Formats: sequence, structure tokens, C-alpha cells
Amino acid sequence: MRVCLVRDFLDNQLLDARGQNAGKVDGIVLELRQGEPPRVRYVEVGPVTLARRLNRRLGKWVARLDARLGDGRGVPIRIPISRVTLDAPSLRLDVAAESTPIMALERWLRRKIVCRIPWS
Amino acid sequence: MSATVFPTSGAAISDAFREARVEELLGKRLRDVDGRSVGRIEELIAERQGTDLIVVEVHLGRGALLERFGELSTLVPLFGGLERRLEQRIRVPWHQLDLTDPGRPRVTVRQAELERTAP
Amino acid sequence: MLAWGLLWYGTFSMIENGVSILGLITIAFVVAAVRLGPDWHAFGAGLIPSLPSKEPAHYWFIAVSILGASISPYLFYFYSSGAIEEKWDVTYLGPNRVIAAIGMGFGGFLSIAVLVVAALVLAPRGVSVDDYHQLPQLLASPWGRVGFFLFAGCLFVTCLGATAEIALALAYQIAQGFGWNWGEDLEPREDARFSLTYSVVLVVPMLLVLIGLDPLKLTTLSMALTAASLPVAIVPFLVLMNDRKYLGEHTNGWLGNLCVLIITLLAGAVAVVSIPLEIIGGS
Repeated sequence: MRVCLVRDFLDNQLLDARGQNAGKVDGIVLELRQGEPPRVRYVEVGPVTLARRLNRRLGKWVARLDARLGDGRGVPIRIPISRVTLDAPSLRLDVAAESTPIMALERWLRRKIVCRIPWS
Repeated sequence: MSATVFPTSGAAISDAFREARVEELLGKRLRDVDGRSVGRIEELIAERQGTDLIVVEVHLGRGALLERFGELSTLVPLFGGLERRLEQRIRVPWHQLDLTDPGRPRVTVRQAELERTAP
Repeated sequence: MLAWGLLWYGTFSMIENGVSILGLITIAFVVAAVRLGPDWHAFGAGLIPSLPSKEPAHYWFIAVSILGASISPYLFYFYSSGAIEEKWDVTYLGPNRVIAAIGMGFGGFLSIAVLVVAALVLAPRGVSVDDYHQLPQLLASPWGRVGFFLFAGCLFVTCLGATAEIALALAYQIAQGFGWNWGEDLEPREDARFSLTYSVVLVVPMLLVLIGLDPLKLTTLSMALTAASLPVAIVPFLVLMNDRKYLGEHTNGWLGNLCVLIITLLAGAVAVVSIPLEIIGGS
């Protein structure tokens, strides 16, 4: 089965194992091999990858901010392609995103701001 | 730049490999052996081979760009001839691609030898 | 604060249906228009489009502003997100066409009533509205003392509804663009980024007004800018509306495509010409 990496993967919605939105695919990492076709290794998710696409300096600045969100942040978040399946027009991840670095900003905002507002 | 890989299986992941990034290849001008511009990379086609997803070819040209945005047929039903011309693209199979320097991708043949096709 | 509370603690149905029901207070304008006894022949003649007899730049600027307010891109984001919130399926397509037509028609009908009342109340007094405090006269004249409170109610409900809609539409756009969890029917703790986005969206315009920007002038200009931005916002929508991968057999027909394209490009072209003229003319 043939797929178009730009149309079907890049910037498409990622859904986790529970059907929750887990961000968009911000980058796709290819492994370059001597004498063999390039192989897709990872999809990348997160503001660091997205910012770097716009501007390298912006990417570094976003990475510094992002690192404050905890372990696994401040760098691109890579998901092995074997954990991702195409479910057009979205892509499905075979784990729940809630406990992963993908949702670190969501957890931080919930803890620091949302939960401090009564009856939220 | 380092990266966080997840989900981890507990075993160490060997991450040392030469890499290229699709979003950085996108829109890059491809040049032939004579240094002539062949077109811009607009799409990468991949195929499942066993458990791997392998890039088999790259598409250049207007048709490849429009391919990403859906069908023209319902949008411009009256312009059949124009549609056929707009959908022209250049297919570059992986073995004609040189990504030694992903910032300056090249093809290993002359421009005239590349396949021009419509879907 | 009220708009924020409605979004933070309310559900999509509460916002949509609640504001719609309260919005029926604007029927006071229809009653007022009838009570004022307009010249129905003149009314009929006014329905026929005509070219301006004076101040053409201002005329086209207002025409473009009305177009921008009627076909605002935010409506597409809000309406389509609402369809997902309410879990519509293919069976809603037919009823949705009817509802959209009736809704737009009713809104247009109310707008006509407001214009008629303004023509009959303000024009004879030589009042050219450039401040909100001049507006209560519209209903005070036909309704008497209670008209002031009716007008206040109309302004309150329409502003509340527009505030909630636009804040939600922007939050939908941003959350969907970044792939976050979103949903007015979710608790804020389940979609913290989405909830805080609309909260921030509500604060920013408040600050603009507090620093002294005229809300009436800002509104009129933003409606015209919306019309100018229509081609940029609508053309991607048009491409999606023709993509069988997303819509299967329910893509647009050629007539629908043609109508949308013509209206969008026309509005954009007129806006690009009229906005500079209006600014140069010093509105």
C-alpha cells in the first residue's frame, strides 16, 4: 500500500489509543541508508519541531521555554513509525497520550491554573 | 539536536543514523547532474515493506503540489484540458535520488531522463 | 466576565440555545418598525439594489462591511465545530440546509427592521450615529419608556452572543490547528489549553477598549477587513468542500462552487478598494 507522506502524515491529526487528540504530526524523520531507499523512522510531535520549521532560532527559544514543562520536554518528541497507523484523515497512536510528554503543557496548565478556579 | 523517543520498551534505543526530515525536504529545489533545476519536492511516496515504511519515490511539479490539496475534478469540471496540464508531475524513484546532503538534494541523472507523468 | 462564565461553566447547547432564545427580544425592532407606520412603497423600492447618490466611498465601505458581517469566516469555524460538538451525522444534512437558510433569513429580516426603524426615527432628526449613546432612541421613540430597557436588553443579548461565539470560534481554530483536545461540552480540566485560549481571547479586546479604542469604529473597520480577508479564508474551505476523501458523495455541486467563488472574490475586491478610500476619506 502506498501512502503520501506529506498529504497523509505531515500536519495531520494524531489520535491516541483512547481517541483523544494528541497533537499534529509536526515532523517526519527518515533514515538515510547507503544503497537502499530511505526508511521512515519516526514522526515528531510538539512545539519544538513546529517552531524549528518556521525558524531555527525560534526553535531554540521555544525549546528553552518548553524544557520547563518537565522530563522529556525541551527537545522534539519522537514516536516510532511502528506505533502509528494511518486512519485517514487522522493517524492513530497505539498508546494513551495523557501520561506521555506530549500532554505535558496540558497537565501543567491544568495543575497551575485550571484546577485553581472553583468548580472546574 | 537530541530528542525524546517514546514509548520506550525499557531497552536502550540505538539512535545513531543519518537522517533527513520530510518537512525540510518539502519545497527544496532538486538539481540534476548538470546543476539544472528539475523542480521542487512536493510529495514523498512511501510503501509498506514488511514492518518498514520505505520511501520509494519523490514527486515534483504542479501536479504533485495539487495532489496534496485534493481533487481538481469537482472544483473545475469545465476545464478538462487545463486540468490535465495542471496534474503533470515528475516522478523521481529513490535510486535516482542523492540525499548525501539533505540541504541540497540532487538527482543522479539529467533532467531529460526523468519521467514526466500524470496520475 | 459573564461571557467567560458562560463558556467556562456552560455547555455548547446552553450557549447556542440559551442565547438564541434570549435573542428573540430583538423582535422588538420588527414590532417597532410596524408601529412606526413606514411608507411601504418606499420600503419596497429600497429593496431594489441601487447605486449611491452621494459619498460613494462610504457607501461601498458600508456595503462591504455588511458583507463581511454576514459571511464572516468565523461563522464557518463556529458552525462546523458546533456540528461536531452536537455529534451530527449525515442525516442532519437536509435539516441543516433548512435551518441555515431560515436562520440567515431571520437574521437578515431583523437587520432590515433595524434599518427601517433607524430611517424613521433617526433620519428625520438628522442624527448620524457615531456613538452608542445615540442608539436607545431607536426603540424609545416607538415603545416609549420601556423602549430604553428593550434596547438595553437587545444590545446586551446580541453582544453576549457575539462575544461567546467569537471567543469560541477563535479557540476552536487555534485548538484544532494545533491538534489539542477541545470541546465546549468537556470540563475545562479535560481541555485546559482550549479553555484558557478562549479565556485569553476574551481579555484582549477588553484591554483594547480600556486603553481608549472606539468600539463602534473598530467594529465597522473589522467587518470590512473581514470581507477583504474572505478570499484567503474561503478558498481553502472551498477546496475541502470538493474533497471526496473527506466528504464522500456530499461534495459541493458546480453551482455552489461558482456562487461561493463569485461572492468571495467580489467581496474581497470591493473591500480592497473601499477600505483605503474610507480611511483616506476620514471615517
